[in-house]
Amino acid sequence: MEVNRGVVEAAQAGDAEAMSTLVRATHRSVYTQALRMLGDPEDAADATQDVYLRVVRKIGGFRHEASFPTWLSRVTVNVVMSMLRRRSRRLSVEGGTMPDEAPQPGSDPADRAASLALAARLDPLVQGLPEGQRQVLVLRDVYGLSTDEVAGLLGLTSGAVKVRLFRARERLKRQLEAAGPDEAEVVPLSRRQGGRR
Amino acid sequence: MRTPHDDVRLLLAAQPGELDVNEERLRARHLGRCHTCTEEARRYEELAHGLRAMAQLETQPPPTLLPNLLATTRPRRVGPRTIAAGGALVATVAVMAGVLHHYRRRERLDPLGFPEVVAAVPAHV
Repeated sequence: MEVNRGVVEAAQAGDAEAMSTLVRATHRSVYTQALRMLGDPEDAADATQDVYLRVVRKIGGFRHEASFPTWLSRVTVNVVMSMLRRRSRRLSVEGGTMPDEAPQPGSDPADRAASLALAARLDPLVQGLPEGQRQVLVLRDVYGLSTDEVAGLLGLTSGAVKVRLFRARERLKRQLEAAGPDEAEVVPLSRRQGGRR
Repeated sequence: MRTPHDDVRLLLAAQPGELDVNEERLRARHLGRCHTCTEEARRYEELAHGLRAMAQLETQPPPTLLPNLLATTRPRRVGPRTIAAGGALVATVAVMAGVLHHYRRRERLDPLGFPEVVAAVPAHV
């Protein structure tokens, strides 16, 4: 997700065209993040709407201390956590911090290609995890929040987060091993249609 | 019967920063002499790379989402009808405030609300 700083500044100044450009450039990423955390396409679409309502209200306060995608990812986490809190009263929220930049896979192009191919295989497996394990794994391992931040967001102890993480990672590793090396063509998720998987 | 592998099994999936000093030491010592667990740890590391790369993959949202978002984020224009409705609202509030003020003022001047009786007693008495 590439976002030009000039476009963000124009949107902050109230330029409607710039805001449309931002929405077009970022909505897939926001939807994907919401879908991974919520596990339901309709809920993810609702969350995406809420995210951009917040963006319109709060973009004036964005100070460019982190990159725009990082700020947007933080807004998405907060919106999704609010939805999860409504869904389940025991969840508590708001205020988690994201790392300044999400951790990137290795910079070597071959490593990067291998990681992306593996990511494409992992995505449906992650969607198949039990909800509690999936939320923890997506926040920690995909979007790079710390264990303590995940614990705070989900109202869990750090120990409980670690146990869920271990179970989720072990399960994914076993499923990958059972599937064997991927011989099939890897279809990037951006070419797939959204929908319940 | 527990084996040394069982003691470190839970630690193999951990990422940097998730273990305390003792756990880190136990893990490193075991991996230094156990090929099987080293291989296991390598697989977890690969998995971690794949999961991190997921942040760069995007799912195609439903086709109706983008038009809805563009409509949601478009600034609302203030047209002549909105201005007229706003003006009417302001005028209504002003009239109501005036009426209220009038009655309050009357109440202050005549708190008991007696009707004005002027020259009730004949002047010649």
